[in-house]
Amino acid sequence: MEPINKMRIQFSSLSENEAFARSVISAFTAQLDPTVEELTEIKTAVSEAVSNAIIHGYEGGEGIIHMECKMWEDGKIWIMVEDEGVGISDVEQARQPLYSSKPEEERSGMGFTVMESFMDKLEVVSEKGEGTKVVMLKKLDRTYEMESIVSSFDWNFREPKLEANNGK
Amino acid sequence: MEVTFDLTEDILVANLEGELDHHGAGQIRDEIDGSMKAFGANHLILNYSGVRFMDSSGIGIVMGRYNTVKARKGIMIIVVNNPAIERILSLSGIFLIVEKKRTKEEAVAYIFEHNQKLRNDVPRANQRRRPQENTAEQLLKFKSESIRREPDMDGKGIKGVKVNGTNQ
Repeated sequence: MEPINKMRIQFSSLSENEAFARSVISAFTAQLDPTVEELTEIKTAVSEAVSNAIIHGYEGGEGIIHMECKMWEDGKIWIMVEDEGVGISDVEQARQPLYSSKPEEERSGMGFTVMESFMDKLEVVSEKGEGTKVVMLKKLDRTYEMESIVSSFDWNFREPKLEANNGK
Repeated sequence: MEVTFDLTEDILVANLEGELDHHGAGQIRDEIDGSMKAFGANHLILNYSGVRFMDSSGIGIVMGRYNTVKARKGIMIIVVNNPAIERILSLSGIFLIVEKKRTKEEAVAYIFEHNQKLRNDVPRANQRRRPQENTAEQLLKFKSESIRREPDMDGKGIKGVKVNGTNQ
């Protein structure tokens, strides 16, 4: 299935742009008519990903952050946040709750945990010196709108769709 | 992101307002630390009820301030009435060590009660402890002190101390 809408933006790695990225994503995904709760979850996850790129990817320095978003008619949203910064040598470790490579800056180490619990699927692709790519997937819950759709609902939507995204 | 302060007795209330992300967190942190120091407050109430959006930076603020308050033997309370913000804070398990209240008034009342209890308890506790200390434990303390001072006392020291100890 083709996405009904997609967008891609680039912006400087300035902390001011965390709020900008949040506004962009909420304005864009609003077309799918998410609930307030869903919108908050998406905004929070994007905020975490962009903050990570600024703090860890570019370590507070200059750089460009790419954000891409695609949406499907059935309420599926695909978001990618990418930087060309220092990368992560151990992605497994970085994803652990409360792990932070910068504890002295009072980072809680909960960034990936928040993304994971607020979105349906999270993938982190990174290598030391190769930048970091964070891909998130969320399916808006629309059963409250159309009860008839429930019977024909594809509950296994996550697996095949994510594979398609990897090879995009 | 803005922060205003209320001060009651030794309780500092930090009212946070707006969107709390990595961009604003540094300034908020400095302002709270500065005010804690300037007012000599022991207890801190972080009032998140005016926060419209928050990511994991909000957890970092709580964790850092908790250490300051703990060092002053104070109490820290988070005022939160927004389910989205409560959920992010809960992810880190911070509510296992920090109190949570619905309103600022509840939080202040809780600390007032604690302060009142402390004031009432301290003299009573001392009274209770005094007769106990007069017994064997206190005598032992006197003895060990006198043994240390023995060379100056020509052997009479121990006897004298014993008399003092029982007279008290």
